Amino acid sequence: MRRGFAQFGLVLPALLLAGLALTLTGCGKVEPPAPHLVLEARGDQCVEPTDVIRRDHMKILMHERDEAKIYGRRNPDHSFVGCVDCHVSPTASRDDPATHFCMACHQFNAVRMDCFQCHTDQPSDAAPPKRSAGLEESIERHLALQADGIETVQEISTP
Amino acid sequence: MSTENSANVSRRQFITGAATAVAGLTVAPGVFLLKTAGAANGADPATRWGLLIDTSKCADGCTACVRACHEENGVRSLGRPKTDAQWIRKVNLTERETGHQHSLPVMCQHCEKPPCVDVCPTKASFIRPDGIVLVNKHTCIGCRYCMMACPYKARSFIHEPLTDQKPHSPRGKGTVESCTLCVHKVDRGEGTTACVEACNKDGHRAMVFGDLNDPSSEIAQRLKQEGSTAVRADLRLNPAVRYQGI
Amino acid sequence: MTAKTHFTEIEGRSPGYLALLAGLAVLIGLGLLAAVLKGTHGHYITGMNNQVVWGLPHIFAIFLIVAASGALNAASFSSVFGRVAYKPLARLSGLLAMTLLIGGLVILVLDLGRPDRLIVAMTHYNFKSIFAWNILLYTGFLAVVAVYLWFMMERRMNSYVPVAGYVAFLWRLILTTGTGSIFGFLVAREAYDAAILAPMFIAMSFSLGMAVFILVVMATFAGTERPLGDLILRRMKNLLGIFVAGVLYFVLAYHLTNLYATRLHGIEAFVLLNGGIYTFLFWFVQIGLGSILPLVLLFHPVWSRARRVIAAAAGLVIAGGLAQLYVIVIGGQAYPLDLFPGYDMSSSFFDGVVATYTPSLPELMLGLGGTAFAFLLLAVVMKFLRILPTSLADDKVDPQVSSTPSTAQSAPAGA
Repeated sequence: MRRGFAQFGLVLPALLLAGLALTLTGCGKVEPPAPHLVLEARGDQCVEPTDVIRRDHMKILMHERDEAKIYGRRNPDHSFVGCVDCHVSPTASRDDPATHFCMACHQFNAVRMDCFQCHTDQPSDAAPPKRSAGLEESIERHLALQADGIETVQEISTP
Repeated sequence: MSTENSANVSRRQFITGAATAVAGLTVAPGVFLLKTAGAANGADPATRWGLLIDTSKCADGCTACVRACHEENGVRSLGRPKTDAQWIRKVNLTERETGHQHSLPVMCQHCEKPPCVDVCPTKASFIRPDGIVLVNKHTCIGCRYCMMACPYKARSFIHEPLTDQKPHSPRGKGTVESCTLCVHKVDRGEGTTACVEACNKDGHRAMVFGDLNDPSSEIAQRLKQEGSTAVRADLRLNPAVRYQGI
Repeated sequence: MTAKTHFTEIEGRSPGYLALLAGLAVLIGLGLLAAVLKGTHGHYITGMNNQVVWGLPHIFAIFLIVAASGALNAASFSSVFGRVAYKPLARLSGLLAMTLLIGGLVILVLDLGRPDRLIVAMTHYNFKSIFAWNILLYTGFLAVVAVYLWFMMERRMNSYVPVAGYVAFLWRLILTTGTGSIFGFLVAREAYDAAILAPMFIAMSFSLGMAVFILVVMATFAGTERPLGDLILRRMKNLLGIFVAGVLYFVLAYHLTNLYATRLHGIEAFVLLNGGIYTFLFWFVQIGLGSILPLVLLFHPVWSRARRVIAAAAGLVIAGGLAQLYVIVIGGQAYPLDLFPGYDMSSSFFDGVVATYTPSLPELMLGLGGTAFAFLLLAVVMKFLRILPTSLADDKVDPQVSSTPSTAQSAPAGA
């Protein structure tokens, strides 16, 4: 019985190694996002400095998503739709990550995200109904409120 | 260390856009401040959004509200009626005793005490401070227990991968969804929903949207003067969608 | 005192054992395939829809979870109720309880719309949800039974077995209460919303778990060619009969209560009279084949002596339990919600009509895959741990039997 166990014990690491090898071979060469993806993006100035966005965009989005979804406190500066509207080309598609600003980088860095399983992968004005005047209005109102200093401050800790 | 601090300050300056107001604050390294939108922009707990539906004005065979809702929120039929999502539907009623017939739209009733919220294991079903019952698709695991619990059959499960969602209405495979009371419109301050707009546009004016808690609103005044009924009132769920003429 | 029981691992080299493992592995593979298909195409490839949101996988899962709680019967009898005859089977009982529960949970998880978000179920907790309570009850049950098993198998810990046995027994009662309450707490649907569903599920756990356990004991002892006396079998089959009668009692009380309330006449007529497949499953499979016939088989003075008859009765109880769960889970959803009492309803969303549900192959594959996983775990663990007693011959079960020269056949029927 002990011998049987030892055999079994060797099988497991072997299987793990084989699985690892298979996984590694499965990862094909991924091209870095092409420069034109960024050039096509319409925003010339992001809502935060690039280094902040690069490092913390996921934290900002996670925070804002709960604020917006659960409490209805929507911040146009940090909205998911806002990111897509500025950065994603109207011809991009989730099916071809190389054309998509978000997905190309996520694929290059091998970071899984499932945002586009539910959210549209295209900017608002790529879809037939244009960005409504109401949204612009509410953004204006929001900005006015900001200027008035009616605001709460929230902390997000970073590791 | 000093560079770290100055980085924080500059970041904060950028984020708040009010550097002078916060410059005196010391921020621990690794902690940065995020300003959220002002409280006035969030869902106001003092309000309770609701609908009043006058079934005597609801025309038989008219599905303007259904079409408008599904157009607004990008809900499309995939030709599979049993699994296709329906956020709002026209229900035809025939009284058994008298044979009297009429029809009315049924959607999520946005209960004050929603059974879907009670049963959801992950709090993905939740009620906003302003009374709108929503599914948080970021935490919905797709167990469908809320669909078992809903007395109004208001919820749909997404049975297939979707594309071409509306930017304001994310929808995806494996999660549950229902009428959002056009929460995106409410948050923009439009004060109406796609179904109400469509009903008014067609001249039926059978639906009114408004704040049930605001005594001066049209909906509150009509509810007070004309009365209304709740569907499955026996369950004491206090739905925010009220009907007249059932 | 019972003679000292010896436990050994099963040898696990016979062609039969390997064939069993291979067969179970194939079933598990098919189950995983079904899960992958669901993950890529979505749930529309199953028979489940917006009307019947829980289908065949949930029936398998609930069956396994309920049976898991009942599989602990033998251990509870020995540790809590002091029936020493069951002590040699306590280890197998505990292990089977764990593996059945794991099998059921695997099915439940793989049927989620977003199984990849399982971690969310652990990190976002709604304490008002009976579903969330069940997550705690299930994981807690696994932990409690694991400790219980360890106490039984570790000599130094033997003295704590009764304590662990009590905790496990209480926990299984609470667990099955929770499972029944998943339906009992649903105010919206007429077939549910009944407090009696919780004790009914407890009774079902006793009978279904016992039936599965009897079959597992007979199969493992036959497969490993270890002697299994009639004495222990007879005790278990008598208990199975009592449990089946207990379930019948709760079914009777449930339907009588509903029949008294006019507002529930619709759902009762649906299940009892004109529900098509549900009426057939209720009367013919659940009541006829799954309750009455096993009772006759188990208590018939002559037939019940044959092992084949006991096995057949246990199998019928399992079939009846599956039918009962089908009627409760699917039938309860198929019957339309009564939004407007006094009115006939119709709509494009199947209001006012009995919802149709056709179980699909992927659902069956997933359900069988999870079941196979439970038994694969059982078979593998038995190869490495000393779960199975070397003998359950009558003189090992009850030494008094060996003092009389009579054969096992004439041993008096126990309890």
